[in-house]
Amino acid sequence: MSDAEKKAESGEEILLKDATDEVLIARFQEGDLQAFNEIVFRYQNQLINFVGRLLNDRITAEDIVQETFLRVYRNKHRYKEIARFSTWIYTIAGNLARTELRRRKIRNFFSISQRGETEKDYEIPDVDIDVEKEVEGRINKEAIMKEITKLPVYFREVIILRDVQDLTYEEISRILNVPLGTVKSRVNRGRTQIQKKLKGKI
Amino acid sequence: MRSMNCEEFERRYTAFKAGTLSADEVEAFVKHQQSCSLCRHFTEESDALRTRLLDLPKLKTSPYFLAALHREIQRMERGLRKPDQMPSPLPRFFAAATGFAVAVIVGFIVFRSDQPVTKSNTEAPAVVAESRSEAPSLDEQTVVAEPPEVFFTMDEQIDTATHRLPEPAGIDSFPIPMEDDLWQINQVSTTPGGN
Repeated sequence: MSDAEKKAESGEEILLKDATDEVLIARFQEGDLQAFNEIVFRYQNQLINFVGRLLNDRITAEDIVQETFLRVYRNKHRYKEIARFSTWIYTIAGNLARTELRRRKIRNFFSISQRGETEKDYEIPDVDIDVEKEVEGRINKEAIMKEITKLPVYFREVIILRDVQDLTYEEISRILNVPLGTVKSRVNRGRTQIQKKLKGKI
Repeated sequence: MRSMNCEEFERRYTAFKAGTLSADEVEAFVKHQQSCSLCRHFTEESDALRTRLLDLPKLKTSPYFLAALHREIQRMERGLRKPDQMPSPLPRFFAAATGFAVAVIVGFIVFRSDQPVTKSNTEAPAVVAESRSEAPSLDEQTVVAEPPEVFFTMDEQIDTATHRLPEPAGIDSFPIPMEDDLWQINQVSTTPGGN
């Protein structure tokens, strides 16, 4: 490979990293697979965080995120630049996650046995952290996550999108296809429910 | 100036933080917050909760995620992967319900077929003597007998000459071990560490 080609390639990489999601999907629609890889790189952890917290199951969440990217790959020409790309991809992942939750509901209805607890994260413990604070913090986090899991799905998804993923109310409204006022009300009621359950623990 | 109670304060808190309340509402909100210690505590807890939620550890995909995704894309392009392999749960539910219904119907039919059935007279093989002008000889004479009305069950249709009827389960049907078998049984020890 010549120096010029190498420069061109590295130049393209910089362009891809700086490009907006909408530019990336447009390039992917034209057949640029590097643009698709960049989309996967940007969204894989965001989506696993969203779906994983929603389902409280990492392994299934990973399958759903994989399916989300496969659908983006297959249906790339269906994306029109009337909505933000992030809204589109979150909508696909959210729909798949809700389908999985419905499936579980039916499965649990017919089966007595329950699935196991959540898979542990790929976390490496930091030995330098104060053990007491670390344990206290972990208990808090676990208690919060437990309470989020107990919330009804319509509260859980807005809390995760707003407070864990830090998306705007407008974006959440578009992803869930519910009015802005409903999103705000659900966030408020979801938070109040968690607060009541965790009274004095936060 | 409008006033605000605790319930409305809690309901409006998100809108207050998002900055979407009117000037009048903001004034009422702030005034209530200053006067009510319970609502002040509520806002403090709410802010703390939001900070905690934002601080929750971020989940990450496994190291094998990308390789698995590319493998699935290749399978999809080769046509080995069916499109949309995460079907809705409803077809499965209906399939299970249909399967159950079919099983019930089949079970009912089998149960009914075990009941004794009356054999109709029309099926009886009646042999009628050929009418002749002259009287038939004794050799040629066929005895015409009206078959008696019988009851039969499905079991009677089994040809017992070629098929063995199943023996009823019980202590009599348990095979008696022969001497050779006993020798083989004795070779296997059930004690741990034994041979």
